[in-house]
Amino acid sequence: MNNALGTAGIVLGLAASIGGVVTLAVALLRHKPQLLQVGRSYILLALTGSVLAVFAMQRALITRDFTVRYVADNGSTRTPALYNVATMWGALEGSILLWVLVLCGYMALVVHKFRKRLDDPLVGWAMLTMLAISTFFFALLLFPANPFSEFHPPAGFDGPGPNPLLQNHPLMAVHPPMLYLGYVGFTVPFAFAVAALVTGRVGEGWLLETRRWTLFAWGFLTLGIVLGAWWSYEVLNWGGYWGWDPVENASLLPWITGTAYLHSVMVQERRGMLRVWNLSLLCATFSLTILGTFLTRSGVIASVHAFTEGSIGYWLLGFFGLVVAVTLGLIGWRGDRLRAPGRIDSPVSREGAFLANNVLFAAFAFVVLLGTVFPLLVEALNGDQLSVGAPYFDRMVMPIGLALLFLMAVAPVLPWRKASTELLSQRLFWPAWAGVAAVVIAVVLGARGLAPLVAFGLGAFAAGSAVRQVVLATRRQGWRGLVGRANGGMIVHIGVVVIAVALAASSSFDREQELTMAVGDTATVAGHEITYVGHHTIDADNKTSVRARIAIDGDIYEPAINTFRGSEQSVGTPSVKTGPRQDVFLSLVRAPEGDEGQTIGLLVVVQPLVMWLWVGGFIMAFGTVLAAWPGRRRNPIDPVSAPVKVRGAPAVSPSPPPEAEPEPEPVEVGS
Amino acid sequence: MTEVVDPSTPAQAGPEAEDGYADEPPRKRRTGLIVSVVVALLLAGFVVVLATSEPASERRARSPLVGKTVPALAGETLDGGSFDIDDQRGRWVLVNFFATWCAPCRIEHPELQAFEDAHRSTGDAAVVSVVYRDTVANTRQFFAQNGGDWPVMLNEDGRAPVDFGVVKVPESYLVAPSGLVVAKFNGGVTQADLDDTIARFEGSG
Amino acid sequence: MTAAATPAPRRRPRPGLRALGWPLLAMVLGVALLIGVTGTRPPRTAEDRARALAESVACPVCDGQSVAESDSEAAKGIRNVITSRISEGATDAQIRDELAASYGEHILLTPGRTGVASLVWTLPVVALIAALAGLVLTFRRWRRAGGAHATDADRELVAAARLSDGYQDRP
Repeated sequence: MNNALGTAGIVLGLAASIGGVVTLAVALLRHKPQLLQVGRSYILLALTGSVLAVFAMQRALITRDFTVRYVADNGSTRTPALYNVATMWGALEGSILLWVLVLCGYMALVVHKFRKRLDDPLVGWAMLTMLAISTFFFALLLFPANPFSEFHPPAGFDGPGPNPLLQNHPLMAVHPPMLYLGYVGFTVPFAFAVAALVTGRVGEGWLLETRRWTLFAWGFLTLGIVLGAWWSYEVLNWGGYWGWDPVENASLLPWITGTAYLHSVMVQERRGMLRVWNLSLLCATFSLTILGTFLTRSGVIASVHAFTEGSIGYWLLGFFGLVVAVTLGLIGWRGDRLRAPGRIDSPVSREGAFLANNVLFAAFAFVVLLGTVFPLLVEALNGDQLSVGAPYFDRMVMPIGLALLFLMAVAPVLPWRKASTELLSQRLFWPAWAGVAAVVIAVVLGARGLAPLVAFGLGAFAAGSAVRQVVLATRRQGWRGLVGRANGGMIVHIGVVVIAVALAASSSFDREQELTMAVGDTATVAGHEITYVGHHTIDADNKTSVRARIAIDGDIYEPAINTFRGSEQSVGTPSVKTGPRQDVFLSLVRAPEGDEGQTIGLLVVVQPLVMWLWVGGFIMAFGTVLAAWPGRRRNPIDPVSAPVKVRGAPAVSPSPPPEAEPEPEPVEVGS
Repeated sequence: MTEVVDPSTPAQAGPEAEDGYADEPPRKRRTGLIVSVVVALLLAGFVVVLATSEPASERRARSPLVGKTVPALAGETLDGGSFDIDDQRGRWVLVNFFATWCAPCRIEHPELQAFEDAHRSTGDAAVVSVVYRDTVANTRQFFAQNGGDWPVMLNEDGRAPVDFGVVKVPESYLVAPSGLVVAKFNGGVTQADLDDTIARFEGSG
Repeated sequence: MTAAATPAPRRRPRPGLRALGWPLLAMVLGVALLIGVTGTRPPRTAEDRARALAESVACPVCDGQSVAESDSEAAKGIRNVITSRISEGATDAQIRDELAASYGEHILLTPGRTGVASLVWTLPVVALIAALAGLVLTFRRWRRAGGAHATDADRELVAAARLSDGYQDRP
């Protein structure tokens, strides 16, 4: 029953997507705008199909219906309810189901938002693009990654349950959906970019229309990545939160280009420049989400997170090639229309800073991509097998990160077009002192080492600049000084600085020790007293948990080793004492064998400021919400650089204040 | 709406040029085309590489030792004696890494016995086992229960597996009489595999 | 919103203070960094060295983790060998080479500096230099092309705009 329902949903979605593509293509190529309205129906049908399929899958998972192969492979009667729901996105086929659901959701939202403009060819082409993408994903669900294939469970069959690492922590339920809301969210601005290129209407209108979509997608992606890092930290056994693992890199790459796009777009809005950059960045962001999906699901690169192998790799790679070819073709075709009439007058200007920002982020993305695929490239070239791991990425990314911090400090105070040294020195004075103060405080507190000190200094410099902007804006506008793109953006910057400082501190000043302890033993690690009190074993439905009771300065923590039924793998669950100054991370490396008197192997990792990584992530998310806050709205479809009507109507000159850069004042254009 | 000319365009882009791009110098259009083509070629190459890469799990099976002289392998054995692989020059040696906690190792044990028995009379091949992260007591018990009359190296310093690049037990390395490593077997070996491999190498000279 | 209101003049600190400010800042920063970089740090013990080496060696049986992070038997074995080789006086390079000889180049998480592998180090630097060169050239080309020039048509347009109703000059 579930199989039939689910397959029906998928077929419905696929049929609706194909039908939509065909109908919209006919409507657009034959110039029949009324027909475009039908696009809405197809999208809603596709949404229905995806909802049906997801409903069927969830029902199968919750009722442990083992006639569905996916449930037989990944579900279990012993898995707790929350993890059963989350199992849908724990393995390949289910994750594509989630993708399709989110995609159809976004499509429906677009159709709702633009419901009064569905006969505009720009919106029509955007819908067509989105439906084409959903066709691909529904096709994936029907052919290589079918979650609803039949299975005939023998009597008394019980599934193995999800991978043990995926049952260990409630963050499993949250991280993938956030990530997908981000990844898939970029489909919307991408579709509009393609539409703009195809229709030739590459002016600013489509940009503004999709600005908030991009911002939300980016916000979700940021949150998803931060939650992923937090989850790794809480679940994996060595106290690390980011390992430059290929799957992690796959989620980071679109974030990098997406961030560059969000910034560079402001230059296009203001001065109509950098259009080729923006379109390229946006198309690159979407392409990278597909490439990332390919890398994590094709098995060509080994990873702790990787899902599975199979023919789906070829499908995804083919789609990636198609997307890249189409976007390259479109940008090449419309290239001359994209050339801007203006030029950047001076490198020391807001435009110049954003251009430098683009270059730095492009370098960042290049380094991450190169490091991730380099083993494959080399092997194809001359058969050598080599690895590129965390030490490479750390070393190459650090200077880029420091340069970005510097830019974060300087760019918000740079005026458009040209800046004088006098202006800069005046505006940057207090932020610079903030930076120096941070270095001094760090040195006084005992921090040593050039890299972390420079990071702290630049971070405080950037934070000072951001705070200055927010203070000036609130002084002028009250609470409205906290919302809107510029001010929300400053809050996001503050979040980034918090993360940067926490990164620098926790990676430069961490201490680690592996201890062998008998019951009652006490050791001192980095000023903390660690005592092994005892151990006990807990038998739950889905796992047996051997827990060691460890006292950290008197408080009890219980790192454990869990053995899940259905898998012979035993998985360690660390326990962390979190604090604002440092985290004490405990991992049970070797369980006590037998009764009292046996020793345990305990790994203790003390890292400063780890908690602030997650706090910084939430600040970034909060800042994103603030940035998306609607300001005192003029008509959002009017381009910012619209000509001012001159004859016979009241015209107003926009007057941005000479100081801080809040939202441009509303421009009343006649009629 | 009245057309307003952006004052920063050069004077020749008058109001009649609808979007001001008509007289773009052809040089710029060509650069754009060249860049697009170059990027397209690079990406096409990239896609081809990705399409033809083998899955990561298959990549691990090869060993850099094959074709090279066997690493030094000497030490104490289970029965109190000592073993040195250099003494074995002149005959085939199968270096077998195992552990009693490893199920496939237990499964391959009879195969090793059969191989050893078959070649004992001619003396042209021998087996040496190396204990991989296991206790002496367990090993002794295992051999007492299951038999097996060949040198078993205790490997108490743990060097040997790392010298050979052992990833996961059971792993076996077949060493030719010349001292060259000719094959690596991942997972359990069978007597048939071993004899076939020896025959293949002896046949080819 | 009218454009008539001029923002109130900012109260500037006394010129002498601001002029002192930047050099003072540079001095304080310099001193702090000097202390911070050259100050006494806990000496690098053998364990630190072992850990750093372990973080640069991949665990052969895991997917993408280093031997420092992994708990598999193979990783533990390699960690032990690293520790004992350090105590025997081997250099980092020697230990890495020995491991690469046994397991293959792919055991090292940092690709070598020679041969094809060095591309992964040099390509990003080359790309960045090329990008910066491109930027410099572009800016120079823009500057050579000169700034904006107003034509008579532009002047007429502006004059007409200023004369029309409802238009107010900015101060």
